Amino acid sequence: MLHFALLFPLVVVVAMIALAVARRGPFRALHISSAAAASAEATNRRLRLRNVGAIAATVACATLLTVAGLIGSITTERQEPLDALHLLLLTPILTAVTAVAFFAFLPAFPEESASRTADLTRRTPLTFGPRSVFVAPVAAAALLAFLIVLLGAVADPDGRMLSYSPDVAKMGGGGGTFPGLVYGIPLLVGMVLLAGVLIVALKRIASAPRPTDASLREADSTVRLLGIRVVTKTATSALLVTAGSVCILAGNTAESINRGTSVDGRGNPIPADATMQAIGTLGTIALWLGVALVAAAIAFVVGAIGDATRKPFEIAPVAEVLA
Amino acid sequence: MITIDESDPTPPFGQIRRQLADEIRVGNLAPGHKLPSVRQLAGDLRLAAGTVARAYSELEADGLLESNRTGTRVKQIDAFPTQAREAARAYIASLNGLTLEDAIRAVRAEWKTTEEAATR
Repeated sequence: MLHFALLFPLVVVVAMIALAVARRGPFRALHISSAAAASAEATNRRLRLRNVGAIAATVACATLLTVAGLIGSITTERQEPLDALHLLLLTPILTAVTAVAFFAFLPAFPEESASRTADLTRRTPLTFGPRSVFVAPVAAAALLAFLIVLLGAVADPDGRMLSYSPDVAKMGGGGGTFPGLVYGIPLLVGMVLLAGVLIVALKRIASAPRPTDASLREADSTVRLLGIRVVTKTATSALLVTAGSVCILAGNTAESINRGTSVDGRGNPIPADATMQAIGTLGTIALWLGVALVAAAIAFVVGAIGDATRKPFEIAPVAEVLA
Repeated sequence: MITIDESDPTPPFGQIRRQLADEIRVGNLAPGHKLPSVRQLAGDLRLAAGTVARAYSELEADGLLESNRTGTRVKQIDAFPTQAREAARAYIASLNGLTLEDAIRAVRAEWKTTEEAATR
């Protein structure tokens, strides 16, 4: 379980190293009127503070949950209703909930004019982010839900093991921990929680106050777009790493069953039957699928941290904008 | 577009109510148009949510807006007749530096005089 528990912190550490190496410039260079420049710079500073707070909270949450899971794996019995594996499997989703909740806060552009204006159009997340941004978390959620249902159907009736024995008389076969419905249902609940928090965060980002000064509008849209990208990528990465972890756990158990059936209770080799071979093959496929999903999750985490820590905009000279 | 002017003696909810009613009556906001949420409009105008909610509910009472679970929409109403709008446009063009309030006062005074003449 140790390698499994270290998976998510590893993802975070790798992403942060990747980010530190590849610091990029501002997302956009915008022309902002000199009267509004101070407001724009103040917003950039507030965003930096928000980002530091959000990342610190996210890392702290991931660390606390992982440490609690590791301690739990040492101190609790595996067959208890809630074992440490529940917590370890839920760690990415709960961490993402924390991150999304923090990144939903957008600082307002400070303005001191005597008059304020507002458009009479309802802003939605689609006003700022392209549709493609929202496809990834939906697809990842659908994949995770499918895996939970599929693995729940394949698992033993107890919902937490997978075992197979080709010939009970010869004592062959094996079994192990498997992400059945005992682990799957809490994951589904976590997924619904994350979806709810993500929807609220997206609505909040879209409907946050917009500045009255027209030259700040593009900067405002950029801040919202980056916010939307951060929360959707964070949610996607959490769902993908969970799906990957579930696949790796299932694949590992399936492969071990196939290996365990190569000798009987007296140490004599027994031929694997077709079912055992199929379990072994599916186990290998699940392992590789899990690795691919974790790799995709790392890409999303790096993207999310990149967007979160990037300066949204800088004030460009007029000539540069025109060019 | 709604503008809140702090130098205007009309309270903010009155400014929202008046401007929204004008936008609806002249047809700039079509029937069925979904208005921003109370939270969004209040945030943009830096007002308390209750101020915007009061303006919305009074416009509902006036029969200009309708609210349901999905939000607040512009109701189907009879917009100002084209003839009235054209006359108003001609009147505005003829004004020489007169403020909106003075122009409205002049219309109100003349309206009263015309009504009194008609009843004699």
